[in-house]
Amino acid sequence: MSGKLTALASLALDNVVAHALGYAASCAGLLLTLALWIAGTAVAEGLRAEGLRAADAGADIVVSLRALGRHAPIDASIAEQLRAINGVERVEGRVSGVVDVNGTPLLIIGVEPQRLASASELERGAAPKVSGECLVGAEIAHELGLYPGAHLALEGGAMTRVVSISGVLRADDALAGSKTLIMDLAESQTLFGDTRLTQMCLWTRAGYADAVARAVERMDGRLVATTRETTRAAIEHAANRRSGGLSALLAPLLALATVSFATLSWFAHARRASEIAAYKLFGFSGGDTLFVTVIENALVALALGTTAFLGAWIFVRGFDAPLLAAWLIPDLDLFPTQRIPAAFTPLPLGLGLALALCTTLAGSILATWRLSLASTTKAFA
Amino acid sequence: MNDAPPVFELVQVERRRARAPVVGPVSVSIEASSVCALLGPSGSGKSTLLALLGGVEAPDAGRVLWSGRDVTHASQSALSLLRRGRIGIVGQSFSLHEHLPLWQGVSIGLIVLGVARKERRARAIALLETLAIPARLADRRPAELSGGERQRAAIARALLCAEIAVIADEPTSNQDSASAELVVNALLARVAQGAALVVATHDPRLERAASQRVALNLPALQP
Repeated sequence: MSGKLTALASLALDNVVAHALGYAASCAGLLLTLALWIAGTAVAEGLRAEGLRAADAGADIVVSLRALGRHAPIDASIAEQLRAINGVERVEGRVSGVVDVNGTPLLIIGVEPQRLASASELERGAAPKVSGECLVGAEIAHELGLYPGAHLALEGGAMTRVVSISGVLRADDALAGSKTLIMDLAESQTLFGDTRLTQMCLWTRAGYADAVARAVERMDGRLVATTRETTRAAIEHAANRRSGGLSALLAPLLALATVSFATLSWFAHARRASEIAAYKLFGFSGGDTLFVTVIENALVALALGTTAFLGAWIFVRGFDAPLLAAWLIPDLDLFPTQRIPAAFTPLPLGLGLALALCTTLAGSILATWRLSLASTTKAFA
Repeated sequence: MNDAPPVFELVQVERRRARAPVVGPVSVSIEASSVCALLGPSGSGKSTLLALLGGVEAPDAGRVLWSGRDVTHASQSALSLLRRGRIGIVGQSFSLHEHLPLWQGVSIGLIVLGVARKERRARAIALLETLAIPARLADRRPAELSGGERQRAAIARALLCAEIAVIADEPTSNQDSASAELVVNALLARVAQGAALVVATHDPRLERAASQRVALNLPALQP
């Protein structure tokens, strides 16, 4: 029995190879839709992973101030009060703001000098050693032609500062960091002409984060304490929305592609009626022909899923997912030149194969059924 | 004395098209190791009678028996299973598997018998060579063969899975004299091995070899 099934499966493989062009034409729409879906899923998963990685690398709690419904600067003196809260281990101030460099918005982040000096995720150069040195993201370095040793004039609200680039952050650093310039906290305060801070970052003892967050908000009703878990949940939520939105967008396309596959299979299989009739003339039962055609479709699904996965990989890794990435990542160019985060894990491959199998089997039900009913008279006429 | 039932038996079988009889009513009994030649002019119903014998078509009246078993109302799938490895059929259109290499199409009937690929290929090539189709053509597509070679390939396919019978429609019609001789010899060799041969033919060699001749007339001329 297994010998027969092996021989039938081998015939199915030969048939797929022999009818490869026909199958390729039938599957073109499915291939495109699946490749887009796998690419989108991989990018969404990549963004999720990168966001979570950034959240894990950051503070346990980020404290900001809201006044009159807007973010407001925080007075540096609050640091002492925050340190006094039970469970808080370390408090660091942070400044963030945007300056325009030759029409390119550049996110400035001012951090404590010791944090700047300990930066290790560098593509080129070294961590800043003295005041006035800073780090830049890989994307902005590429856009503005910056390199270790280069100088850059920054026009803040108060004055113009010339900074020296000591290092470039790694290209696989968080996407948000790719257009960022990280500098000494005091330098950034001078640049923006404000000694106050944008955020306070808190590190707590294990298990104290929620209690500290509640204590911070009790301390001053205008303070908003965002824990790492809240940030993670927001990142997960955003990633799920991206994936869900993409699936909702592609679902009608997939349905259309399946109908197109079913229609083309119907016509393609009609041409194969005499081939199937000849099988039956030589002892193939209806079950045998059904088995062969189902295996054919399964092989087509395998080829389809694998090709779609490879196509998606090339689309994202080779071409930075033009158009698609801009839909998933706000403020991104339609044709991005930077590395797009993507996670080509077994999940999108497995889902792609499963989807390909479902669509090809569903799309070929009628054609397969019709073939299994082919009359032997077609082979004897 | 052989008590085995006839390989094929038609009992008052009739086939109509557009309410006019194409065949019959006719009764025929074909024994193992015998040759039955269906004779008659074109359009006299030889091919239809072969189709009825092979279970390709169902009769409008009468009964069809294979080795004593009534298959008149058997389903296509049941007939396929009964034909499997036992009855080889050659139609006039050959119906070769154009998308497969020749050896694969010729050995198609061996797939459902579970014969391994290597053995299928060896048996197909051996039979093709018997019918003057060289082994180098075994991997070609049927479209690359001449008409005569295509017909001989179809005969090889039938012979490969014809343990009890071969049904052939004009098997020498596209052959030159030498090739026709090879075809007749191959068919008669299978008869010598115990198979029944039912053949619609105008070939005098096959007519001479026939132990039973069924003469069919044009339906309009039938009484």
